[in-house]
Amino acid sequence: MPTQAIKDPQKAAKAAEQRSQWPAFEVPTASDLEAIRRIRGIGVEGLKLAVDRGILRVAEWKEHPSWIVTDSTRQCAQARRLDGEPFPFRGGLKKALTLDGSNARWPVGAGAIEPAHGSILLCEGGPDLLAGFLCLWAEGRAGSATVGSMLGASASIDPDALELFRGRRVRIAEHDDEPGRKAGKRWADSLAGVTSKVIAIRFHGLIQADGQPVKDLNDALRIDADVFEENRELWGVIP
Amino acid sequence: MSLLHEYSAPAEPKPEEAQPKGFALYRRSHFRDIQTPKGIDVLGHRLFGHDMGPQPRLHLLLGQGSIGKSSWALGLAVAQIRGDSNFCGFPLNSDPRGWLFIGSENNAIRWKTDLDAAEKAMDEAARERLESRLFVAGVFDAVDDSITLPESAQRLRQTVLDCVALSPGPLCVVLDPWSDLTSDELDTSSVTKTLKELRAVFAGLPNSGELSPAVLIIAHSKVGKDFAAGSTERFDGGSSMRGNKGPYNKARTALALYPRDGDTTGLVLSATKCNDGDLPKPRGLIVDRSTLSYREDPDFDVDQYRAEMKAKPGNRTAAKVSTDDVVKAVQQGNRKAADIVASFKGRASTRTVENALKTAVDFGHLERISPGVYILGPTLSVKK
Repeated sequence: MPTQAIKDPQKAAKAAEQRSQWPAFEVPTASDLEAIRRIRGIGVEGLKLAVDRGILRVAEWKEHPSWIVTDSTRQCAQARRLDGEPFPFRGGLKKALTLDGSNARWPVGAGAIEPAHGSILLCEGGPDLLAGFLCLWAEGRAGSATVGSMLGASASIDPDALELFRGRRVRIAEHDDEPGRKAGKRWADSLAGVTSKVIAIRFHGLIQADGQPVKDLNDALRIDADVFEENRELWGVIP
Repeated sequence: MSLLHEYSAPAEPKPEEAQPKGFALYRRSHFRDIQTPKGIDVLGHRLFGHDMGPQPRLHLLLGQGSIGKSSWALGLAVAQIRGDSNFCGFPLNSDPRGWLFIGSENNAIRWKTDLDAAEKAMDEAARERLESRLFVAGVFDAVDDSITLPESAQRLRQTVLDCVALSPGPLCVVLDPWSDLTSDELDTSSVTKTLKELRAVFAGLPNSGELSPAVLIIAHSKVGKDFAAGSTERFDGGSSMRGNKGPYNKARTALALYPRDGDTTGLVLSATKCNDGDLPKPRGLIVDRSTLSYREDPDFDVDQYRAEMKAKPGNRTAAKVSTDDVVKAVQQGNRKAADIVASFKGRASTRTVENALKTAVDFGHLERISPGVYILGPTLSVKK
């Protein structure tokens, strides 16, 4: 199969071994979903859709009950605490931990792409992934589209995952910061080989209800009603 | 202002800025799993190689077609990776170097065959080292894959860069064959251009501080016994290279492989050039194709080999044995043909001695009393 840069079998074996040590991922309970809704401001209907697609799970990670974003490929998984607190990590704090052995280049959700999904919203990070599912539900597009997310702005898309995007309309929900814009451009360049056109949705200049600027799709869910009225693109985030 | 923005298409890179992809790199395990289709006969095992120094210099292996130059080079790599201290009588270093083979000469099945053979003489640890230290560039597509310079210079360089990043130590790169590297091996301009491009391919590599890649080029030699004999002679070694002698002139070391007359498992390895040390003596090799092993033949006599190569049909001047000579050999107590031939070791070929024996029998000077056994014949007995 040769890919251009050889995949080191030793590293691959080690990653597989690490993934085999992951805890069992459980389907979230109603109280788990309520906790996530409260922390992230994402409607339960969207969370349920993510659960149905195998994207949202819960597990005990680093001794803390956590919500996990992953997909059926188990290429990548990221945990955030259900109590909304950060994880103690190497003497500091981290709001999210990517599980050991994860393939950071894998867009979580790519494993849930089905033939009927002609459109894909590509996000950055776990909260935006769930926010995307709320958009999917709200816009009545669950049957014809899906959502994927890169869990870091620095990673490029895995070539194997790129193939799953082939021929589909893709929109990238960029974070409104320099790394987010660079990541969007890089992902778009990668996708250019498998899709005809890639569109970005950018939140620059939008204001949340509390007056804070909108930096990402998750923030956009808390948008001021007037701003929502003025920006009709937000009525159809899903491509 | 719209929130939606179409990404501009990535600019088409200009040809000179395009980043060509390196050839795919395969590890040993890739070839283990290849299924050899029935009906395909994998032939062409033999050898080539030498003790590669750590210097980023060109080395040359010459040999006629199908003598086994590629296998010899692989045998060298395998021996070094296995931790052997010696290969064909040349000392081997033990550093953890990686080996990269870039060649358009052999297909994947041939690689599988050679690697399967090499692994037979390896323990588990050596097999693991082979997996981690040996890389074969997949130049298998006759249409799309070319190693010809200068067109493929960037692709070759990228391949080397990819391998440098993976190699646990300094790199030995084997390029096979020279005739595919250059567009015209007879044309001085083409050869000069190729050698210049080759330097650029290996210039300034990330690990080129103390230990840069050693580059071994496999090239075809001229065929014929004269050239075989010449390869064992210090002043005539360079003449055996086919085509333009540019690579020979640039090489720090040049080795030549030639067959041994009437011996399909033996080879003669001659160093025809060695800029960095004394010129090693030519040596006979005993080849074990079943394990891809090559060892020095302690009974090899270079003088005899040279005489055999020069004793061409019709070249009577090469015959140094008369009927009187063989009669004297018998008179001295040598009765068996093998003993008689051995008494002329280094002076004449087996065939020459046998011809002299036949003539002596025809004239009655000797009598063959049973196959391969001679006594003095009637003419000499009467005189006596």
